[in-house]
Amino acid sequence: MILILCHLHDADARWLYQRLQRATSPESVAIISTDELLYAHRIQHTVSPSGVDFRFHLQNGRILEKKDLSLVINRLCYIDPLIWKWVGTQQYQYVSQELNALYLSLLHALTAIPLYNPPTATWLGGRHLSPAEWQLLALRLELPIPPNWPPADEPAQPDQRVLIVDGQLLGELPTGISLASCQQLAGQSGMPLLELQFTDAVFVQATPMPLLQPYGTDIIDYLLTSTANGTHLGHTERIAHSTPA
Amino acid sequence: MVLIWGIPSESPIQRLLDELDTLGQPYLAVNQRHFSETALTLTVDTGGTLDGTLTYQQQFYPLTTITGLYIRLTDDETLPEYQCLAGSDPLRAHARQLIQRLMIWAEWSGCRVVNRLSAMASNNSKPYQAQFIQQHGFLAPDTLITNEPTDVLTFCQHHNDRVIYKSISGVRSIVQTWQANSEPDRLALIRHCPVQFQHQVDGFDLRVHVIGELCFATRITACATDYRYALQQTGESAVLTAYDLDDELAQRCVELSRALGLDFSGIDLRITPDGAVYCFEVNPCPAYTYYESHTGQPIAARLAEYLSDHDAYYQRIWRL
Repeated sequence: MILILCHLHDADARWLYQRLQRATSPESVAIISTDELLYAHRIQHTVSPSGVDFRFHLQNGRILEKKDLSLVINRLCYIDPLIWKWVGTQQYQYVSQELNALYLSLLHALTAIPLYNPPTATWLGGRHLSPAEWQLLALRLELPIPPNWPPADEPAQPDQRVLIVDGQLLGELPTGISLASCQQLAGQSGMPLLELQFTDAVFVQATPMPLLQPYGTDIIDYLLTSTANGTHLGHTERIAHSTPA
Repeated sequence: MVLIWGIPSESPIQRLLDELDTLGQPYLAVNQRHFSETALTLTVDTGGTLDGTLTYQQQFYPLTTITGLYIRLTDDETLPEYQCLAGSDPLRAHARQLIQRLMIWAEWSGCRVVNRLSAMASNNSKPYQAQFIQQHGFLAPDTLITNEPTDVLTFCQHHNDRVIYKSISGVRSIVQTWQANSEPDRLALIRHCPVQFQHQVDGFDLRVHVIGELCFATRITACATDYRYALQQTGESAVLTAYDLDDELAQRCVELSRALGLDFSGIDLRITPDGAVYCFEVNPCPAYTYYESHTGQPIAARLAEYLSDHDAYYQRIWRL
């Protein structure tokens, strides 16, 4: 089963869910929001010599188990237990930290299966770098960056974006930008899915949590090709990803 | 030069400064509370090499002269000098930017850092860290995180009522025992927030401080569930003594620390009566002075050698 984990407001996750569901079958794809995770009526997460596992009973009766998952799209940034705001700042902060610690461990337990993207200890959504750090990393990989580093503010809205998924390019690179450098950037960031953003053909920043709709059928086709290879629908014999472009 | 950034009156920093003095190594101790007198500019060359200048109390220090960095930060918002600022005071933004730049420099300069923020974050989730711990050949106690009371009862029965509970996150909590049929009303509270339960492992505690490739092991003898609170829990303080770690276990500690990206760590182990080695957690910002003051182990001295890249540090590693 393909699982999409997301925040309630994540329109791109819902778009991806609908498109994947339309292209496969309703039972092959599931989408679960942070609220459903937060209010799960039974959570079991175990760490034992036999491995790391979890099982969730959601309020709608769905049971979520690690063994059922063959591909996970992780769009979680931060679990905010809003209801705890009513009981005071200290309790709220404690519960926030406890829940985010739990979901960091759960997501990390998924790293043996295809996971776009794995969490890092600093952010559930993956590698969390400031624009200055993304630009520094890009510069070291010979990508052009704006003058006057470090940037004083958030970079302006990019005019061009590309997605690197498992080393494959989706979208069109600006003139003069090296694909190898972009692939290295994604590789060094440890993110199998990374969007690189450009303004005037200059790299400005990257994100492991991009808008997905601009990639349209390309991203759907990529995931479906993988599933057609038997990689992502839980088939017992996995076939390796096709060679990166 | 070694740069130390934090609150110099804190004992881990104070001890480090004492030892740097003894070594005769140049250092600069930046008091985090003096953020209004501190500035950090960063520059980068065309190849991506970082440079810049630290300004502290009207003195200028090129960043290229700094070879080692020890960070022990406090949340800005808890500093009296920060709390008294109006919400719109530009010094608030300055304090935040200062720490952001320090973090960039620590992460990307290639300088020896104790410890990088990205590495320290693994301690924010104990079960997350436990997964790394298991990968490095240590046992992690059987763990259940749940919001379902009946699952806790089953877990307690499975472990013959030898179960403790503690925080999932890095928030400090006092480790306490839990028994299957005690306080059902309290147990029901876990429905509101999942709680971490663990099999209580028998044996004695070891704290291993890893400095690069050097280890100092301290044995802790206490009857308490959580030796840090032995006096409150049992009426008797824990007894700390230096302990000889065998080479194989020392190497595993070094590798675990390295895998977590930590140049300096405090690893909590428990050795069972049959010699099995459990690891509870790896502390990325250890308050090592507690162990040093009870045992006389020269932790601060070795940390000073490590940060200043002193020959003596390498002579100890290579056993020259």
